[in-house]
Amino acid sequence: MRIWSIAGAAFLLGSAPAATAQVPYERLVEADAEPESWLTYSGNYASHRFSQLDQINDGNVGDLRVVWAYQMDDGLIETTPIVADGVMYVTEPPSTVTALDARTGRRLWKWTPQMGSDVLHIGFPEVNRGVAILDSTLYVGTLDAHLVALDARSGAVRWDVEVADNAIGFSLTLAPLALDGKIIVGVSGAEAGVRGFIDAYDPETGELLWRTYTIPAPGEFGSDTWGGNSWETGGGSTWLTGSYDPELDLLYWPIGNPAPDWNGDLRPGDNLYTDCLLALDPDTGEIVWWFQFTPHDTHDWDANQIQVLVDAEWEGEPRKLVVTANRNAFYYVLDRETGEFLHGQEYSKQTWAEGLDENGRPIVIPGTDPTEEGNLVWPSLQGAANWFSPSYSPITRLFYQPTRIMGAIYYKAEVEYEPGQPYYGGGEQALRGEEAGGAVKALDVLTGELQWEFPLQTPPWAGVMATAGNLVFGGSEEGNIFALNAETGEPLWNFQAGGAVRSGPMSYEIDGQQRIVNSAGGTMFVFGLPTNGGRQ
Amino acid sequence: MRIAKTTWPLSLLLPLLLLAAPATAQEPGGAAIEIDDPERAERLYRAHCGRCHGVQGLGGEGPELAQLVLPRVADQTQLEGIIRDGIAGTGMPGARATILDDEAVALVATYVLWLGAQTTADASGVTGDAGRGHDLYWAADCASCHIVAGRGTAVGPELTIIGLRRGAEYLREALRAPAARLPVSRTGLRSGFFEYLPMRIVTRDGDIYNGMRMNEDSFTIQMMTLSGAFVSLRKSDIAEMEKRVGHSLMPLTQDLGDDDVEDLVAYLTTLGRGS
Ligand code: HEC
Ligand code: HEC
Repeated sequence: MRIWSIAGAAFLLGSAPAATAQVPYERLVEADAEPESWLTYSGNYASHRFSQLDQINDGNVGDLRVVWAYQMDDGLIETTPIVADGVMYVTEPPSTVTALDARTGRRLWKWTPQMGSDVLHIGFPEVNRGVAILDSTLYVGTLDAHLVALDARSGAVRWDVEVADNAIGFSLTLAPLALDGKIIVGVSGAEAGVRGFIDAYDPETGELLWRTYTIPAPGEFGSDTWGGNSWETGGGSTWLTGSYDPELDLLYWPIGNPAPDWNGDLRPGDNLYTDCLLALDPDTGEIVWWFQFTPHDTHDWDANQIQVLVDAEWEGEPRKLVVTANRNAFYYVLDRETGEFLHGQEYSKQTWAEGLDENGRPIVIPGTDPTEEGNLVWPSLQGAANWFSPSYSPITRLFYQPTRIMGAIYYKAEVEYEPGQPYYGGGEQALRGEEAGGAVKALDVLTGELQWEFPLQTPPWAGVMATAGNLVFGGSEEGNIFALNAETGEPLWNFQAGGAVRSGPMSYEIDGQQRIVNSAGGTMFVFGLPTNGGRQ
Repeated sequence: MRIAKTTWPLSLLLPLLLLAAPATAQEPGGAAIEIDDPERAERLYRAHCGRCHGVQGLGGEGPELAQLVLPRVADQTQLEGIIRDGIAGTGMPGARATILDDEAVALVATYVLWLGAQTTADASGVTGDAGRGHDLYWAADCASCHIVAGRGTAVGPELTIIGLRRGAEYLREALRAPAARLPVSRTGLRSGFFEYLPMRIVTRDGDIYNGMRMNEDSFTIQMMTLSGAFVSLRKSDIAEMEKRVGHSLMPLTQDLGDDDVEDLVAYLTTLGRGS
């Protein structure tokens, strides 16, 4: 038997935190070098959600079984755990942080914020997607829009700052992103008509280092893309974790929909920087470049999808790219140094655009806006993609995207802004059942061409993870946690978990054994091969 | 809820034209539902509920609310409770989240009941003799496939409260052209999927199964055969799978005359309502 000495001793002896920093920035940059850990929400700064581990592979995945499970507090589980030095840090709904023994699943501590029962969350459920770790501190955003730093060994609060006012609709549901000397967070709230922003905080003190608004104020660049005073309630929330390129020192952050969602008359113009990807200087928050996917959006097609950084040869030249399968059903390839649009194409059924022009701007089909009587358009407001993670395998060079194939009847309505009230300006009636569907799609990372697809009974809400074992793990609304052959899409393993899968899979290794983690219903499952399955 | 003898107040008619509503909506007791401030009710419903339950209450992320009987709702008080507190452990949030005060909760609840009430057929469309229909139902083979008040065999849907769930026109069609509209599930994940979808499956081993789908995911399918046996199959073992959309296992009632059908409809309409 092996004693789990490092973390264990620290717990027992309560050794001084300064001397035993767990995850310095250098480890985050080099995350690919330690596949036994999972140190950021998407696995690495490039947001590949790819595991280099191959002990579980296309030859033996059929033997996978549950090693342990953890039952969470009531609510939807959309979290991805982090694993460092034998400990798993996971969030439970709505904003609880829990540390578990990554070997046995036994709980080490649990921290739950004190929140009033009147916490607002307008336009989204009470969820949390995970923590960030830096040195010996965890960072969690809360539903009532605080950012809290917790001692990783005990769950004790180091500091707690209010990022924004929950009473007017701000919340934090995303996993923060830890950079060198900075914790980056974004906010939810566009459905309440907030003005979105991205913040950087000092990891030691919680001091605000910079704030960059996603909606320009009068006089600032882009302010002419908002009619009247509509910028004040313009939305543009920043509710999903961004990506980071340490060499270019650029931070990539996707921006959400304009407010109100479905009534564009109230905000004439392109509505920058809603539905954009922003590249920011992480030291100052300055916007270095921007690209807008859906100008003057009237369908709630946030660009809050995971932005995947890929280095590849493009027309004979090595090029640094950022790729994304957008909620609007188009796949985009951009130069991540300059923001130049290189390529884009439809990857899922859509009926709102003829295509993209040479600058990547959609050629919108007239008459596809919401109306008072209702207007059927693909994709639905939840989009072809959403927050759930895609995965990129540097081995197959495929981009794996869980895809919602669903249309909706969009309605427009009058709405007046009231602080802390829903600010939608309409609604939708989605097509369901036999009329909708889903798939895990494997796209050529450079062209977006479909290589294979695995059909899902209903539009998914679960992310995927590719591994060096030639596998893609995913989940379905019907409760399947499954593995597909990464090259062919052939289904190789399926576990019926008995509840909808709403989170993204991850992988780690302990005692030389690879583990696969995914959640369904109210339970997180940890899978392994039977050689070690019964014994811990 | 306020019960009024009148039909809609004039102010209600205008906004509801949007929803292609009939001019009257009856609740089970037969009285119309009156909404204090219909425009505001519709606005609140759209802002707070429409996103999940559909602008017309036909369902979305949440179930269809435009049905006369909601499984969890016995009365307006209970409905208000659900709107205020949500349903723990499900995707149904409490109104706390979206800040409806008690008065607004009551208004939305009334609106939801109105949505349900307008889905029932106008009872006056029933011309048959319910007593004769009753005798016909139990003399014909209906009970071999349907349960009413605990009696019968459950091949097709239970009909115990069919009179609350469906209108007369729907019932007429169900008897004359059963394949025209299969019942659609309104619960949970299966919401929007056909129930009683006839299927024909041939396995790789050459076994042939005819029956109805009970459930399905990406890897497996569950069905009931015509003889009522339960079959569980893995899709990887299936060679051919035909979903026979546009078919029904409900036998055509061609040998019944128009009067017989009207009498059956009259009887079915009483089920769940008392007669
Ligand atoms: C975020 C999505 C969402 C919103 C917003 C929402 N609901 Fe729901 N609602 C649901 C879901 C999902 C269920 C089903 C819960 C379950 O059974 O799992 C549900 C269930 C219900 C039910 C129970 C139906 C039954 O008897 O089974 C009622 C009634 C209801 N909702 C009314 C409302 C009303 C009225 C509003 C607006 C004030 C509203 N809901 C807003 C998602 C939502
Ligand atoms: C062989 C089995 C079978 C017999 C016998 C049968 N039914 Fe059905 N019935 C079904 C099935 C299956 C469905 C559901 C599929 C459909 O609607 O076509 C159904 C649907 C219905 C429905 C619609 C229910 C709904 O909610 O949509 C009604 C009403 C009905 N049957 C009435 C009758 C009556 C009255 C008789 C006797 C004259 C009868 N059925 C005989 C199998 C049967």
